Amino acid sequence: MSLITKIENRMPGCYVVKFIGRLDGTTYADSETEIASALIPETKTLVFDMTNLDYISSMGLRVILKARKFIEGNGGDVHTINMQPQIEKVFKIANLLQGMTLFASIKEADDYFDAMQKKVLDPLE
Amino acid sequence: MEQKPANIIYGVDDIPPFRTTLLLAVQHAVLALVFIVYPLMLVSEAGGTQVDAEGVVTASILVMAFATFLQCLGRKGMGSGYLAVQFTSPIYLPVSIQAAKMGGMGLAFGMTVFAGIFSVIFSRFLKYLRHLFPAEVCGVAVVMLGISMAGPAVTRFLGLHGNNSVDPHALAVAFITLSLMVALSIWPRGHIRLYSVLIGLTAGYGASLWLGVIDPAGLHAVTEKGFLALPTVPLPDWQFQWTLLTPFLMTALVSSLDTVACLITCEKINQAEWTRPDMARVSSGVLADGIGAAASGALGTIGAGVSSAHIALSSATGATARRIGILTAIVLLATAFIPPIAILLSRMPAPVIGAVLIYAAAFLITSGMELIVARMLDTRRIFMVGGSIIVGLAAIQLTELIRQLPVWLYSIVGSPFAVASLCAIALNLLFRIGTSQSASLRVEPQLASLSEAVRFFESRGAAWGARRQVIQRVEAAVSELLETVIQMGLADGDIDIRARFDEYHLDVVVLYSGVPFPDAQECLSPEQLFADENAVLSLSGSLIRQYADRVVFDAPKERQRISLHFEH
Repeated sequence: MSLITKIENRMPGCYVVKFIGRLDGTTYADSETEIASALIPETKTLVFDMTNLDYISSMGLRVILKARKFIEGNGGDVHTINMQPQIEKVFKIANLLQGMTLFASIKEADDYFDAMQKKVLDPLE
Repeated sequence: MEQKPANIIYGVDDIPPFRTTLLLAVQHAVLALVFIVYPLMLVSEAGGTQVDAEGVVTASILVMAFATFLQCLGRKGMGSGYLAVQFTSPIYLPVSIQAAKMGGMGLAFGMTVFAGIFSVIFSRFLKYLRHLFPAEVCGVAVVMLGISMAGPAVTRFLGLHGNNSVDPHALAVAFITLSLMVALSIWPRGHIRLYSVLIGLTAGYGASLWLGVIDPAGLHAVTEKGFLALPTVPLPDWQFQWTLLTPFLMTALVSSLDTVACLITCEKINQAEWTRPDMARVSSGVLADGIGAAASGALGTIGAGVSSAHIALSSATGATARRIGILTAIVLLATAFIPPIAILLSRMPAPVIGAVLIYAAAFLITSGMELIVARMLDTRRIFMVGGSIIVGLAAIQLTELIRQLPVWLYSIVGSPFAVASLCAIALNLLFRIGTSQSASLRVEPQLASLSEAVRFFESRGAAWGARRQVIQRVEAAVSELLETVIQMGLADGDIDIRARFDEYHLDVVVLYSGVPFPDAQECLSPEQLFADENAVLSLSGSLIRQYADRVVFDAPKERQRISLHFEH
């Protein structure tokens, strides 16, 4: 039982957190430490890529909740990519789907961020 | 009503439009008539006359119509109610030839009546033998049904002759037929997929005429008997011989097992969430099968059985409605009055038959594999599945050696399907020895115990042959439970986990001494969760409930007890 947490800085102020494995009582602490590097006031968009997240427990939900609290507290948004049905069920029970954009695929998220980046750059042209 | 899988256009209880039903029924009837080649092989081996051959063809059509009607109707405990077309089965061919050589075709038909009666009796006991047919054993049987079709299919596909030379014309015909059937099953939009086999067969006939695989002059014989005629069946001279009883009863057993595997495949292709065989329905199907076999002997043809090729066809085309089967029986009956159709189809070119068999075998093999991998496999089950398939493949490979065996043994060992299925049943029973259906684990109240609990259920699940999906839910529920107990410091000492499995249920009990589990019934609002992220732990009870089918929290004998029940 393990979890790999990968963090990627997609563009200034936008981080993608990729989970591979199980986010539970045995893995949440390491994951929390990894994510802390993205939890800075400049981060306005945090995306959780859940394509390869097999299981999430209540302690795992706590990790997501803490990150959301920080980002939304700083005026940012939290999104998820490719949430598996069993994970989505858990989020539904915890009432945590409200206020999060759910992308069905990485491509859908990329299109969204490209459009967002264009919107930011357009006024400069 | 069971939910039908996404690839099925017309499920078993659906009522397709009449024109669609009729075209699909014609497609099934055409395929059934192709297999009249088997009883004709008996006539040829027994040195029968043209009159004998015509009688056998008529008897075969009537039996296929009657048995298919009985099987598909599925009323009053007789027949499975699935689209399971009955045909004159090659399983009966070796013993029938043996009997015909010993005492003429009358002896073969007389013994077939007894074999059918045996199948009828066997069907009444089948529901009590449920434990013999877990999903992985059924999977082995279905895989072997497909594999055993491969040899005859490839021989016909390549047009192989005695000196193993490939006939390029036969190969071209087979390639055109198969390519068309496969392409029409995959790419076209709309309902053309339903008629892929019919279109492929027509193209195959056309290509055979064009390339000279069939002689156009020979087709004139087709109309010799006129376009309409009353079916006449000369009554066979039934005979009985004690020495042939064992081989015929063994053959009946093999045919019944074949029917069991076919009907389980029917169940599986009709139910998106198939879990285990419905043995009451299967035994009704075997009963109809036995009656069909007895009727075959009575009318004078080889024993009837469920055709796996037709089941594969219904799966491939996505049309499994029982109405198609009932209309197939009527179409078959009608052909008994139109001799040219039956004669034309019973002379179907070998490469076209080869293409159809390859098409059907592909579906059966993958369907069987799906049945096998739905269950968790430990070393015992790996040997049961792998070993049985190896035994079946050996039966295909060692034909010369097997031919030297006594007839009664040859009827089993000579059939790769039969020998692999019986081996799977025997190994499954043997390997059950020493596998307890109960298990327990004691863990310390530390987070590291979560991994230990998951490993425990992985190994027990594999030993029990449990469904992977159910074990994953058990692991999720127990992980969530232990995590909360440990994280919130609820347990004073070790935590006991007890599990009990049978084919229908999996019960897990977690026991510990200490503070009761916080089972909050009301849902927290997002605001409450945002105010205190630790509050998320109080959701644990709700999360456990979504994994288990029933959860009970109580505290007998001063220990906290959480009972989790899972349907299997």
